Amino acid sequence: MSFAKAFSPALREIRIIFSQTGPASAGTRQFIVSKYPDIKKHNPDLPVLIREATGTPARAFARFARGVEQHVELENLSAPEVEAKVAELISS
Amino acid sequence: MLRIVSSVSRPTSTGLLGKVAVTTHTPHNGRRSFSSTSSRGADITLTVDGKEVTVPQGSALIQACEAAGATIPRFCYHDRLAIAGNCRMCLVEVERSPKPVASCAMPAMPGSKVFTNTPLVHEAREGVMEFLLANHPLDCPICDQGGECDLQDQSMRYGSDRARFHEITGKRAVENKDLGPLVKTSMNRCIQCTRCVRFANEVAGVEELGTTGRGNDMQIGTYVAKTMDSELSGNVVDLCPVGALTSKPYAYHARPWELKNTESIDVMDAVGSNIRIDSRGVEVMRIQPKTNDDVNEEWISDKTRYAYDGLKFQRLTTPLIKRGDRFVSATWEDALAAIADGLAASGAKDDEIQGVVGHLTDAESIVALKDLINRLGSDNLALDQPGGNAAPVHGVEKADAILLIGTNPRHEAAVLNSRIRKSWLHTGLEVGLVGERADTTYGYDFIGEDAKALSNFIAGKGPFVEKFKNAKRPLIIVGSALAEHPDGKAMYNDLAKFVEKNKDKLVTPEWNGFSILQRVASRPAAYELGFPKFIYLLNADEVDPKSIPQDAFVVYQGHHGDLGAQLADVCLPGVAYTEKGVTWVNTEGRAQLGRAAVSSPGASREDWKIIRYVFSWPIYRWGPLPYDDILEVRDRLWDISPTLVRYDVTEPTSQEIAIAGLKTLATQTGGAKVAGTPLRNLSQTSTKLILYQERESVTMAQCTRAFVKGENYGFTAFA
Amino acid sequence: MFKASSSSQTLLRASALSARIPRPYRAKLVARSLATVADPPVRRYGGLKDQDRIFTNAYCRHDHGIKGAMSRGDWHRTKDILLKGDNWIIQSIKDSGLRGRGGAGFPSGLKWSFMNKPGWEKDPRPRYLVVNADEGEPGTCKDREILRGDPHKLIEGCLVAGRAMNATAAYIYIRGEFYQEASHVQQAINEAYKAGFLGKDACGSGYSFDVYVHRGAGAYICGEETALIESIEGKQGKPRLKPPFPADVGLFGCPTTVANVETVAVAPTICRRGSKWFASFGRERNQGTKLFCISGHVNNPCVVEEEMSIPLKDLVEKHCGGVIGGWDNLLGIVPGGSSVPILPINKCAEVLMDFDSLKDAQSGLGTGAVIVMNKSTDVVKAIARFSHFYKHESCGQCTPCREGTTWMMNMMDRMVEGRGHVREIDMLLELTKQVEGRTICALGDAAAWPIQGLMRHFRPEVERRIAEFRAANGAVGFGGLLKKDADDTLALPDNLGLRLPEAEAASPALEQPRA
Repeated sequence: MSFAKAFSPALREIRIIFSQTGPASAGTRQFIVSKYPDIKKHNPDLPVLIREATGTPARAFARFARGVEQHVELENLSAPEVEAKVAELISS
Repeated sequence: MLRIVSSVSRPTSTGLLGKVAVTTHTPHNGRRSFSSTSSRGADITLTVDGKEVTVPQGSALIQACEAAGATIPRFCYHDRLAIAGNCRMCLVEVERSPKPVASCAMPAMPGSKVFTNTPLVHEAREGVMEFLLANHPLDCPICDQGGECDLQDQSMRYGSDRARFHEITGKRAVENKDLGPLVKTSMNRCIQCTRCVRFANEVAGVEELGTTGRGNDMQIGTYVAKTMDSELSGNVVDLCPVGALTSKPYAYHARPWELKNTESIDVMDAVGSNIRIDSRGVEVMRIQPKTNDDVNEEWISDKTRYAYDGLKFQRLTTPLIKRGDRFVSATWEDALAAIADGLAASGAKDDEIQGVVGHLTDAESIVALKDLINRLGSDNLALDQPGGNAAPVHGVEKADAILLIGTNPRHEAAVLNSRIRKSWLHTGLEVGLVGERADTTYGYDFIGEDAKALSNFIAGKGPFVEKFKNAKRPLIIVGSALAEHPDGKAMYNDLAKFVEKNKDKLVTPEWNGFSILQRVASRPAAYELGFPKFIYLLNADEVDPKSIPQDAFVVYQGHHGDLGAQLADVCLPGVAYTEKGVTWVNTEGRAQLGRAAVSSPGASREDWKIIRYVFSWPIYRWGPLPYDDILEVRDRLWDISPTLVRYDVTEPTSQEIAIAGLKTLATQTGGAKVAGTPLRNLSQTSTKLILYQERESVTMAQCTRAFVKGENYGFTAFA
Repeated sequence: MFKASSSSQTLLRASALSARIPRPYRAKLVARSLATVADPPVRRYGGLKDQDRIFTNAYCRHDHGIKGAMSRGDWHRTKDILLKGDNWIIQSIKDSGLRGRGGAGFPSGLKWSFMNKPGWEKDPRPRYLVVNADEGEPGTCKDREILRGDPHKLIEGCLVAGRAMNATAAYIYIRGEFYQEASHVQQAINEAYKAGFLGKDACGSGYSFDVYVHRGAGAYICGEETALIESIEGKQGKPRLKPPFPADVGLFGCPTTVANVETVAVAPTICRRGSKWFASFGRERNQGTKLFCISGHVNNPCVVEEEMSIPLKDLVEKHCGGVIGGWDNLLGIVPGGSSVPILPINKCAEVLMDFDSLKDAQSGLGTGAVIVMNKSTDVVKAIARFSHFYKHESCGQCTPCREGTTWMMNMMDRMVEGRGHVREIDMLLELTKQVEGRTICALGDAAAWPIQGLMRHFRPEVERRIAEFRAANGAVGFGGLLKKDADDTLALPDNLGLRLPEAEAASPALEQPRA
């Protein structure tokens, strides 16, 4: 799924948490660097929170309507895998 | 202003043996903070009382003695101030020296033998103590410093047991000076250690205190009848070793042994200074600073120190429901029922439900509110003030060029300002300012007042450009007021592009040079956590009443009955920052844990608990919020951002992410037009700056009268 | 003169060594052994001849301008002195044995050489010579004669000393009260600039040197070297802590040496006439000539330049016409300005006017300001007046001096009246010991010494007054409270000595002076 489009309005917030320096989060970092500007460009009002903390496992959260949250683990995944997982998360 | 060239015998500012801890924390290196470790030269070894001790070169003998475990009495020496060598209490014996040597003034020499326990040293200490007490009034019973007085303690330990001063000419009498509504002076007691003078000159940057007269007629004061116009003036009360300078609001209220000390975090600004709340029973008697080398060293701003008396007035102690145009006290159940009714009656759906977070809200309550509002189907969360993306202020002391945009750190984050000044004094820091001209206590290059000036600077024209270009660690500090300014968007755009262009200097793996200075304690946490027909005001008092629609149902949760409470239909009493143990995030992004010092008045409850409780009312279909105790709330915080539960450290931003963020910022703010209005600093009385708690505080009102309006009424000690 | 047997000679030597009686007032009497060749001739000091005088216009009788100065020999071949270089000049000063004439008596050659530490060339900061013309010491008036009469000697001295220290400029700090002296010096500077002796190419030697005058504002403490530097910088005249010493961090943070007017003013003459010539005056380690200013109860108070080590008695009798009322009318002499302890008459007869001799007599040469007091003096009042001076002039920085000088002044005032207890004499001495050596600068020592000198030599006088006062007014407690004024209904502390057994006795003969 391409990130270069507006997401459904049911998606209220995306949160990506990872470690700045750990190798397990490398894929996640790459994903953000490449995709974040696009995501924001097409979804300017969607809060996309990037939170870094050393040593924390990489995860992504998506918040939908009525506060329901889903999350996926992104530890040790490469960038394309991360992309796939996040896409899956968002469309669920 | 005179800039001090680093002189030879200055001890390092980072405490006695330097900061060893930081550099050993690899791979988490880059634990960055306001402070920095100074480069350590060679270490030298000397012998103190037979014990060998190694200290960094350039430290004073007194630091070497302390490292060896020998306590040296002193009055005028202070680690964070220049050396004066006045009091002569720190005299020690050094081998091969005929006279005793002032250990604070003598640099530690390798191989020297120092004795701190010989009869000569004892006599010297007794002699000096005798001289100090010769002209010191017998004020202990009425002096506020009793119980925590350096003179008392050191005379008990090092002084002689009897007095020999019986002169019929009597003791010296000195007039009291009026330094304003915060510092009470009783200059008879002054021992002329000049700590206050050095503090005012060096740390606070206001060269107002000085010595007049010579010999026994030497007096400390402002000479001209002037108040001490510094936002750090309360710190001289801590520094003064005797009761000459004491806290005026605290005068005659309590003795130190009656007080219970609780370490917590301050919320009056976004610096997150560590404080120690001294309380007696349920009342907070005073606020003292707690040393934290990374955040606030040993200083706190006056607001932090003196606004506590607002905690006593106009508190919300029971839930209130508005009937007609009056508030009626009610029970919790009634209030919650009223809220449920109000929510249903207003017919608010999804985004018509708004949550507004105010200045003094902690991380736990914000997360509770956010979860709540989200569950109600809304994303409409706001702060009192619209804002941009917040990058935390890191490593101020490491910077060698700082560009301030639309901010006056002196008023917005006083302790941070003193760190900038420290850097400016002792290193080659250069500062440039875009915004309103103001006295920041250090010299700066004034670039201009408005967005045009900023674009000129970015284009490479005008003053300060060269210095910024040549700096190895430039830092841009953007004021939070920029986002409110009509030209804010355009300026952000310019800045984002500028930072991108210079990203090899400004955003590197070790150094993030783009930051935003928050001025409100809740903002960084709120940004970290990501927020009307139905409006839930959480401690929010800066809301513009016009922005609240007439028929909206407003719930106000807070601890003072101020503006927000007036607008509300239901008021729920929360607790103030001294009464809850919650997480505060400062402008560096450092999460710190506060602690409850006193219990809350009346029927008030902790904020997050209220939110949890309010919406666990059975009529709501979606069930209560998933946390039952504070630890579960913190787990939720961890889910959202792990930094929030990592206390006392700051997390550096990784380079690529920061750049990606900036790129986005640039695109988002692209196309904004520049109106050219000049940037105005937030004045001290602007409602934006004075928090409602301060509005309740009598001390703060006196301060406004004295410092802002300049009315020098006689400030006699008021109870 | 008997020839002792060898055994008693050994005894003699042994006893001389072990007893260590300080007797070197006269030339040392060498213990005679069998193999001596001849006794070294006993030398008498004093009697400086006019051709050996350095300050030829000390009385300002002749023109003090450049013409007069040059006619008296100033500025003669200064260029050659400068061209000889810094090492040569410093070596000359060292060889001449010149010791600082401002009071401390530190060997000048050594002091000036501190400026030329190895590696000084790499230091980019400017270097300064500061001339201390803040003649504040009570009794001293020698520097003003130099400033008024021989300012060109001083200016030339600045140049030569500056060259020795590789200084870029000199500041002459003249006390504010010396208006005429300051204008004479400024006139001399202007003339020197005009004649090309100062400035870009001083005396045509290629060395650039500037001289500035700075006027003080009436503080004795600004005569202390670091306080003087602070005063020139525009701050309050409060002494700095040493280390760092002025040779490292001095005026404006640059290497500086502070020297007295006389020390600097004799430097060119030493270089011109040779260090051996200067060293030929005075005893070993106390060489040269000195300006002495004698005042007080003498028939002819004056400033006179004399050889060092001249006996004090000769100085007073020959140049000042003797003590008023004759030598036997002498009570005591303060030989070096108010900071040094007073000497009683028996010491005055023996002592030589130089650093070592006076130090051995438990006094000091100081600035060479001789204050003569004859028997008409109330010596306790005189010393009390000194205490007033120090209390007034203390800068107030450090605790012992600030509080101690006031306390000592109050006590001395009571001692003048006799309103005290004999135990307080010892207490006063203890206080002086507590101040001495514990202060930032030497003003504390200077305040303590006169009192110590008084008690050492004139204690019976003080005790007599105390006894007299008590005979007239009843017992006095510590602090001056009269027993008859003590109101027992008030809460008086017990440690006022009002109920001491001696206090009860009316007879002063029962007083035992406590050691």
